[in-house]
Amino acid sequence: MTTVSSPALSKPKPARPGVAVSLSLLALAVVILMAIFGPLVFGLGNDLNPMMRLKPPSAIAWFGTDNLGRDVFVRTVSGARNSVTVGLCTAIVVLAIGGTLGVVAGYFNWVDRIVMRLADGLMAIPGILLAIALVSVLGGGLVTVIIAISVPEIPRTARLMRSVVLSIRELPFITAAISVGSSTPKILLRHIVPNAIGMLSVQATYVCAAAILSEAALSFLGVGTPPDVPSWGNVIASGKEYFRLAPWIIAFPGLLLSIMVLSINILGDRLRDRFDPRLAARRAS
Amino acid sequence: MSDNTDVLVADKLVRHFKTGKGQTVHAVNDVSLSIAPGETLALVGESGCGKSTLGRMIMGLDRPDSGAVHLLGRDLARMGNRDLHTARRSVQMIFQDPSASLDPRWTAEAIVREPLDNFRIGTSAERRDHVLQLLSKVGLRPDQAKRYPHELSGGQRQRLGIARALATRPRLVVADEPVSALDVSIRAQVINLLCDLRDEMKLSLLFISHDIGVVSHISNRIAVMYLGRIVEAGETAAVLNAPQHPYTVGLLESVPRPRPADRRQRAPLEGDPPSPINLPSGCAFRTRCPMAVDVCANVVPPLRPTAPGRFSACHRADDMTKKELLNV
Repeated sequence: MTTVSSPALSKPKPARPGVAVSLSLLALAVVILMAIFGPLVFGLGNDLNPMMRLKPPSAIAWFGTDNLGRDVFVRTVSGARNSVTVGLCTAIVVLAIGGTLGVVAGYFNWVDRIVMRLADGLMAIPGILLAIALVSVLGGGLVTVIIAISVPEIPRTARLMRSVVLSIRELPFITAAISVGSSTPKILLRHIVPNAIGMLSVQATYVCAAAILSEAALSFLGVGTPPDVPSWGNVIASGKEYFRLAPWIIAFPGLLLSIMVLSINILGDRLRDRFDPRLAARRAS
Repeated sequence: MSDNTDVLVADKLVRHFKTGKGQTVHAVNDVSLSIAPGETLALVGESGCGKSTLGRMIMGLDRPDSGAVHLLGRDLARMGNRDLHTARRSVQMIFQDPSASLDPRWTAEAIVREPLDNFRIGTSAERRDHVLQLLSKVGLRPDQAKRYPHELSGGQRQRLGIARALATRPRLVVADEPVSALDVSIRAQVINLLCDLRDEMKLSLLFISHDIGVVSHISNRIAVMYLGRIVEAGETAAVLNAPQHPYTVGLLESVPRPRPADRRQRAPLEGDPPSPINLPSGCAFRTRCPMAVDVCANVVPPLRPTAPGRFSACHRADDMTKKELLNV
């Protein structure tokens, strides 16, 4: 006799990831491999070669060469390290500080008033201007760039987390936790944060993508990482004057930058769909 | 209507909320009630009458503007946070919506264990046994302990909520509309479970409901609430068979009957209750009352005893026994 399994009782199968999600994951994996192994395998691509200036893509230099004869392929591959580092570090810093501020502000009304007024003030300043000001005060370098990009992102993340926590704390299971005697730290860490973590990780992908773009913009403007460390931003910047002669200097790192940011955003959208409370409720019923 | 042995004595509770526009919502006005050990008091009224606010004050989740909540002789309304934490062990709550009152990211086992951890009841191994005992007591199998709330049915979720409320062995349980979110077919099951556990654990129960039909099975006494005041109270059978407030009559008439011909020929409730922001002068019920006379518009009727253990806040309570007046 065969056993018949009821479809209502079996766990729902996770939906297969779409083509866009698979491609995004693949692109992300390639870029991360480039970030880890690129500089080890190819070096930083700082060797000047005046004989090879502004050469188009060929079998020797796949992405062509720039005005100083440096290999654009090597600089692009190695530049991934800078972009990925900035993206990841900014996401971590912003989530740790902005997320914590948001959770606390969402739960305690008196903290809310202080934190949100500060956030309003910070958000009124254009992000890129604030970043330029910070870089000129603190001097260039990877750490400065990360700080400069994080500061304008923190209020936005804090605001988002605050609104998420505001809606969670009104749910009956928080009242239930209070009435069974749970302490406030326990309620925050064990009930509120786990239920907000979905939104937080979605936000992380957006912050990461925005940080990679901001780093490129800062490097392009000449206030990012120093030119001897390649990053997509400063490779693009070095090509801007020769754009009509040698478009490949801008095209390849620009393309990679676009693919990377697009992939992260696609994955973020996918995560958001998974964590959407309405979708979750529909899955549950 | 109180004596020293009562588990709960609420005394002249008042709770008003300020709206953003400077208006005042009179949620609870001068409510007194008491619950003896092992007794079940049903608190009945339409939505918005202040039943849930009263329940929250009794749970120590909200503080009254004035009045006292004596739980086992100690006043919750004036306790510091640490004492309140200790006191919470003896009063627990069952919520209306079982899916919303259980954390979706916690397993059944973790949910029932939470109060045990908070009050450090027993050792870690004892807590695990205790959790499994509680789950089986409410009819959940041990293999369901690892399930998340969304993997349980509505009735199972509410039974999980009951197990959580009983974990600390409370003296008083506040059940706020515990079956109104459930399918009709499983309401009786959950109510019977609640009755059995109440008798077994000698619990006192405050059963809050908008449905006067449901409470007849479970309660010893009934208190009927209208716009923040108790308008009638007494033994369940007495209140249901011979109501002494026209609002109670109206509530009874709104219970659907299997055969419409069995309807008693009395006026069901019409219209909506007035806003608790602008209460009518005199008796709050007079705007919907088929028996209202001039005095009702001028004088607030006090809740006064009409018989031993029987209270009514109606100027014409004595006339209610005359049947012909009710055949409006």
